Amino acid sequence: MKIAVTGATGMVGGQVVSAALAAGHEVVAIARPDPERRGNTLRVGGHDVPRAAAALTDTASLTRALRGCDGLIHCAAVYAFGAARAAEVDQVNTDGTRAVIEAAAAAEVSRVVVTTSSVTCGSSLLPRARSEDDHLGVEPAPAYYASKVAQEEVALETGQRHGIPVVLALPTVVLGGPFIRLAPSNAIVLRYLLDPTRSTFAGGCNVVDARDVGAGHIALLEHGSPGERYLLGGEDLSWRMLHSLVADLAGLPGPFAEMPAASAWALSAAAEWWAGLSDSTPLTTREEASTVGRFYWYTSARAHDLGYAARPARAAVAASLAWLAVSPDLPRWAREGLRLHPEVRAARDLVGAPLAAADDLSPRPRRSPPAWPRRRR
Amino acid sequence: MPSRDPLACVVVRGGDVAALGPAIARLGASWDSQAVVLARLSQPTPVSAPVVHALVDLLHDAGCAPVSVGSTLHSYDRDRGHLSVTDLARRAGLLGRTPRGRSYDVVDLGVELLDAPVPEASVLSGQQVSRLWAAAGVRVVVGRAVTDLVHGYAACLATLLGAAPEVAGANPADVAADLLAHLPPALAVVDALSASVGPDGGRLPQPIDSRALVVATDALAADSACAALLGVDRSASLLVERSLRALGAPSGRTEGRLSTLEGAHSAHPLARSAARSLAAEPRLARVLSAATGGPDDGAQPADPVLSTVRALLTPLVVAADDPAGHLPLTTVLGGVASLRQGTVAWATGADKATVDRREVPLGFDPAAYPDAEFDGLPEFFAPFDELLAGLPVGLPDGLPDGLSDTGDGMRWRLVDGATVFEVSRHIRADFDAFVARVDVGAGISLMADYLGGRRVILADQSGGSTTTDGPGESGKDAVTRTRQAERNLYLPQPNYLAAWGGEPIDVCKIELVERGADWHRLTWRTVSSPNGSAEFDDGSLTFTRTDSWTRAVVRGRQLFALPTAWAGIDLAALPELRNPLLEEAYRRFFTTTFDNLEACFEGREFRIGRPPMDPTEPLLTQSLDLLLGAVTQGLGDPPESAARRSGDSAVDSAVDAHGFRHVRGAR
Ligand SMILES: NC(=O)c1ccc[n+]([C@@H]2O[C@H](COP(=O)([O-])OP(=O)(O)OC[C@H]3O[C@@H](n4cnc5c(N)ncnc54)[C@H](OP(=O)(O)O)[C@@H]3O)[C@@H](O)[C@H]2O)c1
Repeated sequence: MKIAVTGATGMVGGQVVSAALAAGHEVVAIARPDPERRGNTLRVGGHDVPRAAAALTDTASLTRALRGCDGLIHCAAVYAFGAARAAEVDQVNTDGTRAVIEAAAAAEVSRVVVTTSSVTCGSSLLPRARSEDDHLGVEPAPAYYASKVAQEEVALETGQRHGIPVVLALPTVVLGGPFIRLAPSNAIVLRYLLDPTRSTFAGGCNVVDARDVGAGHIALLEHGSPGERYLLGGEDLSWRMLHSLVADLAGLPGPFAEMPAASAWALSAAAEWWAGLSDSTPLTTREEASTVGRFYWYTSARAHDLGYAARPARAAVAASLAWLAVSPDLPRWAREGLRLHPEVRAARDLVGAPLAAADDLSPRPRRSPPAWPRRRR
Repeated sequence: MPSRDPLACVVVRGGDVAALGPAIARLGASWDSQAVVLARLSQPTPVSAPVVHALVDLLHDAGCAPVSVGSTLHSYDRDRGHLSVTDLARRAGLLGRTPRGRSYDVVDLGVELLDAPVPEASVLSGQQVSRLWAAAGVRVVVGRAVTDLVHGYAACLATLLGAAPEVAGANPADVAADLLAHLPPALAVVDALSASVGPDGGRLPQPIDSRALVVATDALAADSACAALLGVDRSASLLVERSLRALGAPSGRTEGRLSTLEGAHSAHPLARSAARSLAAEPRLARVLSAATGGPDDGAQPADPVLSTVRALLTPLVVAADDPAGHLPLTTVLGGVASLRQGTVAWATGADKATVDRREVPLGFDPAAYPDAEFDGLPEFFAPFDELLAGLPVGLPDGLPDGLSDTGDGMRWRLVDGATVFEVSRHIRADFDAFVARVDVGAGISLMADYLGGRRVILADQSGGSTTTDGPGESGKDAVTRTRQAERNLYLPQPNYLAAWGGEPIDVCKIELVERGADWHRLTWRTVSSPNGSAEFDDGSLTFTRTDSWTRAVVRGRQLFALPTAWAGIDLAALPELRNPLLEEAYRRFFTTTFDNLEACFEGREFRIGRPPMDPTEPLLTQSLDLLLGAVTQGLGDPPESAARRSGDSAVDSAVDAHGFRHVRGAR
């Protein structure tokens, strides 16, 4: 099958590309036009894949890029929290999805998978796993959650309107890489590495390895039922269990005390204030802090029936640490203090630099830039 | 008994400029080609024009043509508000014609440059020097006898620096030593007709009627004589001290009276030492230099911050030759130096991206070591290899003193007070792909906390690279061998020693690189440590092919000097404390080193530090001034804005009583 993937420069999209190639598919990466990206290929996991440039607002270019493809996996989206990016999140995640599916229909693509999120299934105050039959309720929901609910509606509605089968993929907290921009999921792990108090929270989440999410998308493209939602998750963990895994694999102490929701909120407010001053991306936001104390636990039974399988949470955390260890988002002083478990080193394959450039080192990696030009108010 | 050494230096006392010709004649030198006179033009104490003019006349008389006189504009001049060499020359009275009517060119030696014709071992290798100076048939340097707050005194070597642009990250003392070694002047003259003395005679002129001249065929001999005339130890000058270390004491005899000039005095040694520790940071050194004395005649106005610092600092420096009077200066400079030491310690531990990288010369002559010394390095290290091979991996806790293993790929033992250790990592990369991207020969520069250094691959004295049977199991493994010499600087180890004044580790090594089909190895032995930071730093880095990956192993024998503050602490007596500290330090260092190897393989950036200060960058006070401007603007209209609103534009750029110029920013 020839598969087009949007968001291939991101973590989920990158792993979708790798999984598609591993499954023997042909891949075209669709990326937004960017003068910094030269040539018409994109390097993903040591492979060069053809790249077509098209903005999510440009249906004509998208249609041209999708022509000849059998399937489309739409991963491009803004995954970010905080009021500063709420409008952008909504615009890209819903309008962008509509434009992509319309283009896919026009280009006569036969199947589409849209990456939404497990948050559309809501969360619980009690530790119970939710399923695709659950929906986001009246609990505190950041703008990103709302955008993902809207994205699902738009995707199914547009698919129906144009008669193109659309399957929805709902990953839980995706850990690992590759990433050039720190997603809030890996930021959960990073925050623990940088937290001098080594504290944890009440509640919990479900974590999954990005490699499994990549493979899961291919399973859904091949076998998913149109109009269905499929949770792609791994293990359900309390925050304390997750932080214990991070501590163990990173060779750090803790976790110790459970931070009350109010403190988490206050710290997030401070992080946002500082990020505003330093014009950087905050490591945490008040929106995220508002989810403390709830359980984001999910079952992926429906996807398992299609052959989807996820590795244990420990492997996902190890992958996250392995990618963080080579990312500029983890400051050197913090990295040098870690005592990474051998499992962490094994979680990421080394990819040799192109030989021509071996003695000419790559430029310093960019610190995660905002995905959308920041609007100054 | 009179010395039989040839005459190298003549000191004339009680004469005037007319004594120059006979003195030069005494040296018996003869010249007849294109001559360049590199003269001290620095304000406010340039050489006296009569001396330069007499010299130009003598050169013409000897048949030299053309004769050029000049220097290069350095940060010293720019920071004090001087923007052109021609202007500096004009202020020194050098207008292109001697009173006897001989003409000469006034040149900016920094305008036309060429790649320095120096060996790779030189700090100038890869840098540029003045084309005119390098190509001149006769090179003459004319310094002036002045005292100096940081260096005790300055004469010919300080002037010689004008033969090349400043080298970012290099110690000027290294540059001076290499200029002296590779592009030396044929004649060095110190104008001490009117020496400028006092705490910082170069910047705060205190001329005395000293009526002396020094003429030498060796600039080091000239500076040594000048130091004697000024009553200072010649090695008080870092420039001279470094050159003496690199080139040895000047040979040849000095003729003339070397007693101290009447009235000569300089800064109190404590003030000098405080100034020196502050000047170790080049940005602060520039501020100290620019803020002492001045404003010079004809200089551009200083920025308001510099004016303020100057107004506060200069009176303190003026008093610094007095046993009690130096105390305020010593206290202020010492305080700033301690603050700086604090920031260095912080950067070393927590913010390595802000540590300045360094440029250094090789620091030793590899030719002094025969090939056999290089080739014998693996055998030299073999007893340690054997010792380590005998140590079990993963020993339980509670080990006897000196024998331990972290269970994390490290084993170690103490031998003669040094740590003999092995650390290893399986790198998940194919051996051939790995060695194609990671050169074991460059292994030292890939290690953690590498600040800079120099590596010279030595031409094979036996012709071509050697290929022999290697130590592979098959015995048929062809091995190529390359000899190299290297000097490298690392942050102090463990990093926290920086807080106690720990110096970077600075070591000179002879090395052998061996490359076989299934293994690559670099073996090194430390031959000296220019700053005395290491007694031993020997070892090897080996990449070996394993079933599917590459194994990287570092073995070493290390013994580093502890900072003076730790001198009284006998860590060896406290193995319970020493062992975990030592293991943690090694684990950190080599985890990062192996991470660096992987980063190099993947083409990721891994080096610490930032490019060193560019000597052409603005003075620190200018940046502070901009910052203050921004803050003032942020806090609201400056006080004079009312006047501005009333249309009095003259007030706009007025300088207030404190030297601050108030400028209204754009809104
Ligand atoms: N990470 C998680 O934990 C997680 C969990 C559940 C669901 N998801 C979903 O998975 C998808 C991918 O997330 P991720 O973690 O891979 O995020 P990511 O690493 O930030 O990648 C986002 C991708 O979207 C692209 N993109 C963003 N804005 C765009 C725009 N305006 N036009 C075109 N492309 C745009 C980015 O391209 P550029 O490189 O050009 O910016 C990048 O390729 C999202 O739908 C997200 O909601 C993620």
